[in-house]
Amino acid sequence: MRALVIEDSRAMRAILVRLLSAVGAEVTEVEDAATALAYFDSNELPDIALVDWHIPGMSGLELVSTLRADERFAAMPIMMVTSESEPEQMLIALDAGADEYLVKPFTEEAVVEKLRLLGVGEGQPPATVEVPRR
Amino acid sequence: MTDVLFTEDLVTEIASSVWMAYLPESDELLARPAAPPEASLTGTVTISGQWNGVISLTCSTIAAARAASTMFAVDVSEVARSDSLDAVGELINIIGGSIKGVLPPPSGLSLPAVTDDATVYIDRRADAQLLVDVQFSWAEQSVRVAVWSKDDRTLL
Repeated sequence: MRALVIEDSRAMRAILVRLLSAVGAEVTEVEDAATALAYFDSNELPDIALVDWHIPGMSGLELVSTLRADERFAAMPIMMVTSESEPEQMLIALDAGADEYLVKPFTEEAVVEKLRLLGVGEGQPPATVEVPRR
Repeated sequence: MTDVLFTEDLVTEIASSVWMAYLPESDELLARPAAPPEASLTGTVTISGQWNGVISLTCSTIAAARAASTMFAVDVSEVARSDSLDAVGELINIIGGSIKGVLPPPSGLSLPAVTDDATVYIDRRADAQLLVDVQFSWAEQSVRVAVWSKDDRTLL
Protein backbone atom coordinates (compact mmCIF):
# COMPACT_ATOMS: atom_id res chain seq x y z
CA MET A 1 0.00 0.00 0.00
CA ARG A 2 1.23 3.48 -0.85
CA ALA A 3 -0.14 6.33 1.22
CA LEU A 4 0.18 10.09 0.81
CA VAL A 5 -0.13 12.10 4.04
CA ILE A 6 -1.03 15.76 3.53
CA GLU A 7 -0.58 17.43 6.93
CA ASP A 8 1.16 20.62 7.99
CA SER A 9 2.03 19.50 11.50
CA ARG A 10 5.36 17.69 11.61
CA ALA A 11 4.33 16.02 14.84
CA MET A 12 1.12 14.64 13.35
CA ARG A 13 2.94 13.57 10.18
CA ALA A 14 5.42 11.67 12.32
CA ILE A 15 2.59 9.91 14.13
CA LEU A 16 0.75 9.01 10.93
CA VAL A 17 3.91 7.84 9.19
CA ARG A 18 4.72 5.61 12.15
CA LEU A 19 1.22 4.11 12.29
CA LEU A 20 0.95 3.60 8.54
CA SER A 21 4.44 2.15 8.24
CA ALA A 22 3.59 -0.30 11.01
CA VAL A 23 0.81 -1.71 8.84
CA GLY A 24 3.12 -2.04 5.86
CA ALA A 25 2.50 1.21 4.01
CA GLU A 26 5.03 3.08 1.92
CA VAL A 27 4.33 6.62 3.08
CA THR A 28 4.99 9.90 1.32
CA GLU A 29 4.41 13.03 3.36
CA VAL A 30 3.74 16.58 2.21
CA GLU A 31 2.74 19.61 4.22
CA ASP A 32 0.35 21.52 1.97
CA ALA A 33 -2.08 21.17 -0.91
CA ALA A 34 0.17 22.77 -3.51
CA THR A 35 2.89 20.22 -2.87
CA ALA A 36 0.32 17.44 -2.92
CA LEU A 37 -1.03 18.55 -6.31
CA ALA A 38 2.50 18.72 -7.69
CA TYR A 39 3.16 15.26 -6.31
CA PHE A 40 0.05 13.91 -8.02
CA ASP A 41 1.16 15.43 -11.33
CA SER A 42 4.49 13.64 -11.33
CA ASN A 43 3.88 10.37 -9.50
CA GLU A 44 1.70 7.32 -9.68
CA LEU A 45 -1.42 7.81 -7.59
CA PRO A 46 -1.20 6.45 -4.05
CA ASP A 47 -3.59 3.80 -2.77
CA ILE A 48 -4.90 6.31 -0.25
CA ALA A 49 -4.55 9.99 0.54
CA LEU A 50 -4.90 11.18 4.13
CA VAL A 51 -5.78 14.86 4.19
CA ASP A 52 -5.76 17.23 7.14
CA TRP A 53 -8.54 19.82 7.07
CA HIS A 54 -6.50 22.76 8.35
CA ILE A 55 -3.44 23.24 6.19
CA PRO A 56 -1.95 26.54 5.07
CA GLY A 57 -3.06 27.85 1.67
CA MET A 58 -5.69 25.70 0.02
CA SER A 59 -7.52 23.92 2.84
CA GLY A 60 -7.81 20.16 3.02
CA LEU A 61 -11.50 20.45 2.25
CA GLU A 62 -10.79 22.52 -0.87
CA LEU A 63 -8.15 20.00 -1.90
CA VAL A 64 -10.64 17.14 -1.63
CA SER A 65 -13.15 19.06 -3.77
CA THR A 66 -10.44 19.84 -6.33
CA LEU A 67 -9.38 16.22 -6.56
CA ARG A 68 -12.92 14.94 -6.88
CA ALA A 69 -13.59 17.39 -9.71
CA ASP A 70 -10.81 15.68 -11.68
CA GLU A 71 -11.71 12.24 -13.01
CA ARG A 72 -8.11 11.06 -12.60
CA PHE A 73 -8.73 10.91 -8.86
CA ALA A 74 -12.23 9.46 -8.96
CA ALA A 75 -11.18 6.07 -7.61
CA MET A 76 -8.49 7.21 -5.17
CA PRO A 77 -9.64 6.72 -1.56
CA ILE A 78 -9.41 9.90 0.48
CA MET A 79 -9.57 10.04 4.26
CA MET A 80 -9.88 13.34 6.09
CA VAL A 81 -7.81 13.37 9.27
CA THR A 82 -8.85 16.31 11.38
CA SER A 83 -9.60 17.80 14.75
CA GLU A 84 -12.97 18.95 13.35
CA SER A 85 -15.17 16.64 15.37
CA GLU A 86 -18.69 17.93 14.74
CA PRO A 87 -21.06 15.74 12.70
CA GLU A 88 -21.84 18.75 10.51
CA GLN A 89 -18.18 19.05 9.53
CA MET A 90 -18.02 15.34 8.82
CA LEU A 91 -20.97 15.63 6.43
CA ILE A 92 -19.34 18.58 4.69
CA ALA A 93 -16.18 16.55 4.14
CA LEU A 94 -18.08 13.53 2.87
CA ASP A 95 -20.15 15.74 0.55
CA ALA A 96 -16.91 17.20 -0.80
CA GLY A 97 -15.76 13.71 -1.71
CA ALA A 98 -13.92 12.25 1.25
CA ASP A 99 -14.48 8.52 1.66
CA GLU A 100 -13.68 8.33 5.36
CA TYR A 101 -13.25 10.71 8.26
CA LEU A 102 -10.80 10.21 11.10
CA VAL A 103 -11.14 12.51 14.11
CA LYS A 104 -8.12 13.50 16.19
CA PRO A 105 -7.26 12.25 18.72
CA PHE A 106 -7.33 8.81 17.14
CA THR A 107 -5.94 5.46 18.16
CA GLU A 108 -3.86 3.06 16.09
CA GLU A 109 -6.85 0.72 16.07
CA ALA A 110 -9.06 3.45 14.60
CA VAL A 111 -6.60 4.04 11.78
CA VAL A 112 -6.41 0.34 10.97
CA GLU A 113 -10.20 0.04 11.04
CA LYS A 114 -10.64 2.98 8.67
CA LEU A 115 -8.10 1.48 6.27
CA ARG A 116 -9.97 -1.81 6.42
CA LEU A 117 -13.25 -0.07 5.64
CA LEU A 118 -11.60 1.51 2.60
CA GLY A 119 -10.17 -1.82 1.49
CA VAL A 120 -6.54 -0.76 1.77
CA GLY A 121 -3.79 -1.74 4.17
CA GLU A 122 -2.42 -5.17 3.33
CA GLY A 123 1.23 -5.51 4.27
CA GLN A 124 4.11 -4.36 2.09
CA PRO A 125 7.64 -3.38 3.07
CA PRO A 126 7.46 -0.03 4.92
CA ALA A 127 9.25 3.05 3.70
CA THR A 128 8.81 6.80 3.96
CA VAL A 129 9.55 9.69 1.64
CA GLU A 130 9.27 13.39 2.46
CA VAL A 131 8.60 15.75 -0.42
CA PRO A 132 10.03 19.26 0.11
CA ARG A 133 7.49 22.07 0.25
CA ARG A 134 7.08 23.99 -3.02
CA MET B 1 -25.03 30.27 28.30
CA THR B 2 -22.28 28.42 26.46
CA ASP B 3 -19.64 29.24 29.08
CA VAL B 4 -21.25 26.80 31.51
CA LEU B 5 -20.31 23.93 29.17
CA PHE B 6 -16.72 24.29 30.27
CA THR B 7 -15.88 22.41 33.42
CA GLU B 8 -12.69 21.08 34.92
CA ASP B 9 -14.00 17.56 34.32
CA LEU B 10 -14.53 18.23 30.61
CA VAL B 11 -11.08 19.76 30.15
CA THR B 12 -9.48 16.95 32.14
CA GLU B 13 -11.24 14.29 30.09
CA ILE B 14 -10.24 15.89 26.79
CA ALA B 15 -6.61 16.47 27.78
CA SER B 16 -6.31 12.94 29.16
CA SER B 17 -7.72 11.42 25.97
CA VAL B 18 -5.23 13.38 23.86
CA TRP B 19 -2.35 12.27 26.08
CA MET B 20 -3.47 8.64 25.95
CA ALA B 21 -3.76 8.74 22.16
CA TYR B 22 -0.43 10.36 21.34
CA LEU B 23 1.72 9.75 24.39
CA PRO B 24 0.47 6.26 25.26
CA GLU B 25 3.65 4.82 26.66
CA SER B 26 4.40 7.74 28.91
CA ASP B 27 3.35 8.53 32.45
CA GLU B 28 -0.29 9.23 33.15
CA LEU B 29 -1.50 12.82 33.02
CA LEU B 30 -2.55 13.51 36.59
CA ALA B 31 -5.01 16.29 37.44
CA ARG B 32 -2.91 17.86 40.18
CA PRO B 33 -0.44 20.73 40.08
CA ALA B 34 3.26 20.11 39.56
CA ALA B 35 5.99 22.47 40.62
CA PRO B 36 5.94 25.71 38.59
CA PRO B 37 8.34 25.41 35.65
CA GLU B 38 11.36 27.62 35.20
CA ALA B 39 10.57 27.84 31.51
CA SER B 40 7.58 26.86 29.48
CA LEU B 41 5.99 26.83 26.05
CA THR B 42 2.41 27.93 25.52
CA GLY B 43 0.24 26.93 22.61
CA THR B 44 -3.06 28.65 21.88
CA VAL B 45 -5.93 28.20 19.47
CA THR B 46 -8.90 30.50 19.12
CA ILE B 47 -12.47 29.44 18.58
CA SER B 48 -14.81 31.82 16.77
CA GLY B 49 -18.52 31.47 16.30
CA GLN B 50 -21.46 31.48 18.68
CA TRP B 51 -18.83 31.20 21.41
CA ASN B 52 -15.55 33.07 21.15
CA GLY B 53 -12.51 32.29 23.17
CA VAL B 54 -8.99 31.03 23.53
CA ILE B 55 -7.79 27.61 24.60
CA SER B 56 -4.24 27.43 25.92
CA LEU B 57 -1.81 24.65 26.75
CA THR B 58 1.24 25.53 28.79
CA CYS B 59 3.91 22.88 29.23
CA SER B 60 7.22 23.10 31.00
CA THR B 61 9.99 22.99 28.42
CA ILE B 62 10.94 19.59 29.81
CA ALA B 63 7.39 18.29 29.36
CA ALA B 64 7.29 19.73 25.83
CA ALA B 65 10.56 18.02 24.97
CA ARG B 66 9.31 14.71 26.36
CA ALA B 67 6.13 14.99 24.32
CA ALA B 68 8.15 15.75 21.20
CA SER B 69 10.45 12.83 21.97
CA THR B 70 7.48 10.46 21.93
CA MET B 71 5.73 12.01 18.95
CA PHE B 72 8.87 12.10 16.79
CA ALA B 73 10.20 8.81 18.16
CA VAL B 74 13.61 10.26 19.03
CA ASP B 75 15.58 10.36 22.24
CA VAL B 76 14.75 13.39 24.36
CA SER B 77 18.40 14.47 24.09
CA GLU B 78 17.92 14.80 20.32
CA VAL B 79 14.79 16.94 20.52
CA ALA B 80 15.22 20.37 18.93
CA ARG B 81 13.29 23.44 20.04
CA SER B 82 11.33 23.32 16.79
CA ASP B 83 10.27 19.77 17.66
CA SER B 84 8.94 20.93 21.02
CA LEU B 85 7.09 23.82 19.38
CA ASP B 86 5.48 21.45 16.86
CA ALA B 87 4.52 18.96 19.56
CA VAL B 88 2.84 21.60 21.72
CA GLY B 89 1.15 23.05 18.63
CA GLU B 90 -0.33 19.72 17.65
CA LEU B 91 -1.45 18.91 21.18
CA ILE B 92 -3.29 22.24 21.59
CA ASN B 93 -4.74 21.89 18.09
CA ILE B 94 -6.34 18.58 19.04
CA ILE B 95 -7.41 19.75 22.50
CA GLY B 96 -8.96 22.85 20.92
CA GLY B 97 -10.70 20.78 18.27
CA SER B 98 -12.17 18.51 20.90
CA ILE B 99 -13.40 21.49 22.93
CA LYS B 100 -14.89 23.02 19.79
CA GLY B 101 -16.74 19.76 19.32
CA VAL B 102 -18.88 20.37 22.41
CA LEU B 103 -19.89 23.86 21.26
CA PRO B 104 -22.98 24.66 19.24
CA PRO B 105 -22.11 24.96 15.54
CA PRO B 106 -21.04 26.73 13.52
CA SER B 107 -17.65 27.69 14.89
CA GLY B 108 -14.16 27.90 13.53
CA LEU B 109 -10.82 26.81 14.94
CA SER B 110 -7.65 28.77 14.24
CA LEU B 111 -4.31 27.27 13.42
CA PRO B 112 -2.25 26.86 16.60
CA ALA B 113 0.31 29.41 17.73
CA VAL B 114 3.10 28.44 20.11
CA THR B 115 5.42 30.76 21.96
CA ASP B 116 7.75 30.97 24.90
CA ASP B 117 7.17 34.72 24.96
CA ALA B 118 4.95 35.35 27.96
CA THR B 119 4.13 38.84 26.70
CA VAL B 120 2.53 37.49 23.55
CA TYR B 121 0.56 35.01 25.57
CA ILE B 122 -0.77 37.70 27.91
CA ASP B 123 -1.65 40.00 24.99
CA ARG B 124 -3.69 37.27 23.37
CA ARG B 125 -5.70 36.81 26.56
CA ALA B 126 -6.30 40.54 27.01
CA ASP B 127 -9.89 41.30 28.01
CA ALA B 128 -10.61 37.59 28.26
CA GLN B 129 -12.38 35.89 31.11
CA LEU B 130 -10.75 32.79 32.54
CA LEU B 131 -13.36 30.02 32.69
CA VAL B 132 -11.34 26.92 33.51
CA ASP B 133 -7.70 26.41 34.44
CA VAL B 134 -6.66 22.81 35.03
CA GLN B 135 -3.16 22.11 36.27
CA PHE B 136 -1.74 18.68 35.52
CA SER B 137 1.34 16.81 36.56
CA TRP B 138 2.96 14.67 33.89
CA ALA B 139 6.06 12.82 34.99
CA GLU B 140 6.43 15.49 37.70
CA GLN B 141 6.35 18.21 35.03
CA SER B 142 3.82 21.00 34.77
CA VAL B 143 1.10 20.89 32.11
CA ARG B 144 -1.75 23.39 32.21
CA VAL B 145 -4.88 23.73 30.08
CA ALA B 146 -7.03 26.85 30.29
CA VAL B 147 -10.17 28.09 28.59
CA TRP B 148 -10.72 31.83 28.16
CA SER B 149 -13.90 33.43 26.93
CA LYS B 150 -14.11 36.67 24.97
CA ASP B 151 -17.25 38.57 24.14
CA ASP B 152 -15.87 40.21 21.04
CA ARG B 153 -14.46 37.87 18.38
CA THR B 154 -12.59 40.75 16.75
CA LEU B 155 -10.28 40.77 19.74
CA LEU B 156 -9.13 37.23 19.11
